[in-house]
Amino acid sequence: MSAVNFLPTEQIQNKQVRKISGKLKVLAACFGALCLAIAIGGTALILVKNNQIAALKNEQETLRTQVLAQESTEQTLVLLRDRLQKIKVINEKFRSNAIFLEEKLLIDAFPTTITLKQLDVLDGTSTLSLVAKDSTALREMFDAVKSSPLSKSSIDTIGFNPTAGYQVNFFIQ
Amino acid sequence: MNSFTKYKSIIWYGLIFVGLIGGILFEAQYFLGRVTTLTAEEAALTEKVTILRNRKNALSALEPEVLAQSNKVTEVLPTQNSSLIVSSQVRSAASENNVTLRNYSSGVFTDPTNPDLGSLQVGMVAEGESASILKFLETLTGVSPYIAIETINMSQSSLTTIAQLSLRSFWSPLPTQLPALTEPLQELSQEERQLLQSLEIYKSPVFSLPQGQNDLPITVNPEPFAPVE
Repeated sequence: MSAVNFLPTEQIQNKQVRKISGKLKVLAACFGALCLAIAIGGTALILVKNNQIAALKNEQETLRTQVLAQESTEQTLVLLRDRLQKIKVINEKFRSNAIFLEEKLLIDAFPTTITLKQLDVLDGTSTLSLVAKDSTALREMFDAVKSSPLSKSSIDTIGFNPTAGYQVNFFIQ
Repeated sequence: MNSFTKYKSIIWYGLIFVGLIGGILFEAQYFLGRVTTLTAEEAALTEKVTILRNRKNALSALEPEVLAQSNKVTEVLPTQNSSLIVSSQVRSAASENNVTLRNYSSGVFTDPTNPDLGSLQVGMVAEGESASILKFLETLTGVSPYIAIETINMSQSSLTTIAQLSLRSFWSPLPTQLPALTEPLQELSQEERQLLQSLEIYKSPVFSLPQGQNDLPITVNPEPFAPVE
């Protein structure tokens, strides 16, 4: 039995219109769901972020209180660092102390056959004039200088005098 | 039947569709803006919290024995000109090592490139045995206030050794303010700890200047080793 439509023929919607209308309905439903999902997701994200921020603010406040309670320790640390940095600057600028102490160690280790004739220190460099009584002492002197921490040392001049012995001038930097 | 009636459903659904697109765009813009702001706020807070946490850790990590060194570092690098203490240390080292001093002079030296670091230039002639003079200089490199050797001109004659010396001692005012809570504060590095440890052996002066010495006029005595009249 065929369906009977009692509406006037001019009121029956065009098939094409129904199709477009149906598609628009589906799209509207989809976009409606998307709109709702964005609203829910966005609100949830904002709530999560707000909670995280609140937790961070709490932690910040707690830490701030703890740090302020240690103010005297902080003052000491700042003082220590300030002094140490300045001492480091001085040490870097005035290197003569280190050179002198190394030379002193070297001279102290010499046998009595090696004597110090002259010592000049200026601007982190030094000239050291040593006298060795004989060739054995001269070899000992070279061995001692070679094995000393004065790595940047070089022989400037070397001379021989029959009465005094060998005089060697070292340049140290 | 007019066109409106004919396309009524399309118009309605079309309007709803357009409205929803507008709504989605509005929502997206709103949430994106809000989340971006909150993320930036969170990042800034995280940075502040990290700085504070590091600061707290740096302070907690400081051992009491390190803190106790603050007096020593101030002794090694005093806060003001300590020419009297330097003279005392030089004199004490000279008598300890049987060295005779003469032509002792001192003067304040200001380095324009580092105005925070004042220094006292001390000149003298040391006389004695060469081993004694070397020991005297070694002693001076291990006293506080810190003394740096500037120049040594030491020569040995048949009778005695004479050394023309120029030394430098330093002072520097204390820092006037603590770093802001938002600035990072690191704990002492290994290098700084080693330097601090090396200062322990510096020999303290036999006397210290009383507080308020700034009020006293500083006069330079050209011959502090001369006998008292």
